[in-house]
Amino acid sequence: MQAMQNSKACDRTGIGACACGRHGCFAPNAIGDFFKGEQQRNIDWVLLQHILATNIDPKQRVVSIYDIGCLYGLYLTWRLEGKLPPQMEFDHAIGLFHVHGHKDECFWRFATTFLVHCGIISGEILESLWAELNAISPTARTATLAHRVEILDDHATDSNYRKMLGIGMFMLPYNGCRPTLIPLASRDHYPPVPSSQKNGTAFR
Amino acid sequence: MDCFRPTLLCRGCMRKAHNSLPYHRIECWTGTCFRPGALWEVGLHLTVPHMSAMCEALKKHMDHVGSLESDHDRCDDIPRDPENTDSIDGTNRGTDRGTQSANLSDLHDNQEDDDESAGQEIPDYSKLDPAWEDDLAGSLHGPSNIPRMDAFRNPFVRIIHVNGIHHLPLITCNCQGSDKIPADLMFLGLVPTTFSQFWTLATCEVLDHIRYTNLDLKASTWQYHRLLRRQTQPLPVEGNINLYKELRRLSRQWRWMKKLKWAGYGHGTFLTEQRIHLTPDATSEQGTNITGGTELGRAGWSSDRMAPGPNAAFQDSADFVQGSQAPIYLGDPLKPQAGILANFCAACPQVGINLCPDWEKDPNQWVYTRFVVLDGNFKADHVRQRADDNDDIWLSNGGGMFANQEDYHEFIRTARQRRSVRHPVPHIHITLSAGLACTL
Repeated sequence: MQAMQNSKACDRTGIGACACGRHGCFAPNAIGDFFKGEQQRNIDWVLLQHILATNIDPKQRVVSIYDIGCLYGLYLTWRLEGKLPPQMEFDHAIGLFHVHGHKDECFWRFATTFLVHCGIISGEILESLWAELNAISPTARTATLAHRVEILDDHATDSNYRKMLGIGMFMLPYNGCRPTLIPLASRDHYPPVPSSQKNGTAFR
Repeated sequence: MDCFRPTLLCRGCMRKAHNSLPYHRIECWTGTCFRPGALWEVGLHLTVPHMSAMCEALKKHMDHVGSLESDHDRCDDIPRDPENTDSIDGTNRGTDRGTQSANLSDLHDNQEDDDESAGQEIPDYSKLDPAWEDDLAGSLHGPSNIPRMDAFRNPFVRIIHVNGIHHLPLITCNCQGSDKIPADLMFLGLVPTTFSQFWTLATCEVLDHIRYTNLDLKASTWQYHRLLRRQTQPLPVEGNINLYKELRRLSRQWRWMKKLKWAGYGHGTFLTEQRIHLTPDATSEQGTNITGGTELGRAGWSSDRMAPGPNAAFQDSADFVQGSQAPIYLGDPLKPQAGILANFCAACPQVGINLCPDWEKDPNQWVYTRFVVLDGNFKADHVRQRADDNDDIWLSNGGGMFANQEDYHEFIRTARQRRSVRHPVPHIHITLSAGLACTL
């Protein structure tokens, strides 16, 4: 029942965030403060910003995985009417840890295990990201609001940055057996190094 | 002390050896022990040339300083006390004596370090003169009487570096205007705490270090500040330098500046200067970009940026300038475009970024599924500030991972809400008693 609590000492009772489910990268602009527990409108903002800020095309299929995805998805399109891109549809699911706290019906209907074309995905990636962020949260607790945002922001950005470096190392030497995505991805995206930079050596 | 394979050097050699290593800590042989020294004692100056070149006035000034310091070196070599002169072997002096302090008020600097004289020279503490007391304190804390100016009225500045706090006289040149000095300092890798008077400077290394210790060790600026104090002066004494406020402010500014740099803000001035020389057509084209940060979505995003603005998602693909190397003016850094200082996943299938244009024709559409995981965190709370503390300065409001505060508050205020549960209260009771998150 943490979500319902109101605190007298705190003006921000927590943060809500979203990440891409497969790789666990925080989405830009999509961390929102909780003022009075975890309300649906906070999470609405987070989801909306994820869609707007990370180039999600309305034609792509979007699976939203949330701890209480069963209730959250009920009036989502109504709540975000006019703000979402047109013809955007969601598949709602519940993370594989939280789904066991629900009724049995929720398990069969919302567990990612039984979602078609979903692959194997736990949907709890944020919990592991929180574990890292929780180490810095006490420092940010008594900072000014602006400084707190900058601290948490920097840590989230750094988490993404390290992940990006790691993905590069993971993807490239994959023994010729690459995911389907790579042949379709545009290779000419990366510009060639100008020849003037290749010649000559200098140290600083 | 910080040198690899340290050797004992005279004053002049020590200065010459550290011309390009001004942030080294040194030690000074007092005749009985090594005490912590400082490079200003050997006459080292920190010269700040202009970014373009060293100007004539500055060269002349440096020559003056150099000749004065070599005079000091010669004075330093002449022993002042005739009694001590007798006992000092000329050959020993070059090797046994360490670096000499510039303030040669105490005679004991010239003491020889052999057992006989040390045996005779057991200090009688009842007869200690002030110079000896200074020396004793100096052996613990380093030189305490740091002057405010040198002989040419060059101010001494505090330099915060990863190995502690240093004091050095700063030689600047006003011939290009005093407002250019901060840029000259930044070019040398020194960040001033204020832009008008330069008393305290921090090196880029220490600011990077603060950020890395914060990111990886989760150390706060306060903890880093304690570390610096300990490195500078192990014993806490009265009048110890407290630079916590400066460090705290600088660490914020540094983090912000790095983010701006990574987002490509450094090219802004470049473009405004270059814009004059552009052809009329190009000028008008660029002009549309310059008018406002939000216009930037039109220009797309360059290949080294991970997160384009939110509007970019719904741009016509023809508007994308993929792999464009032209610098883009990004607008006011204090009002960053949404999400421009942040980065996002390189592996998620994003239209216009890592998908080929005909991705919709691929029969395996499930590959392009996007997964969005949502969750709340209740550890990252924030205690209420005092009412008079509310004059925060938001450096990157809405530019990074966090939402733009005004937009977010507006959204929360006007959000449509509808109960997902018909009778929430009984259900909450049932939920609590059943130990389930949802019982509907």
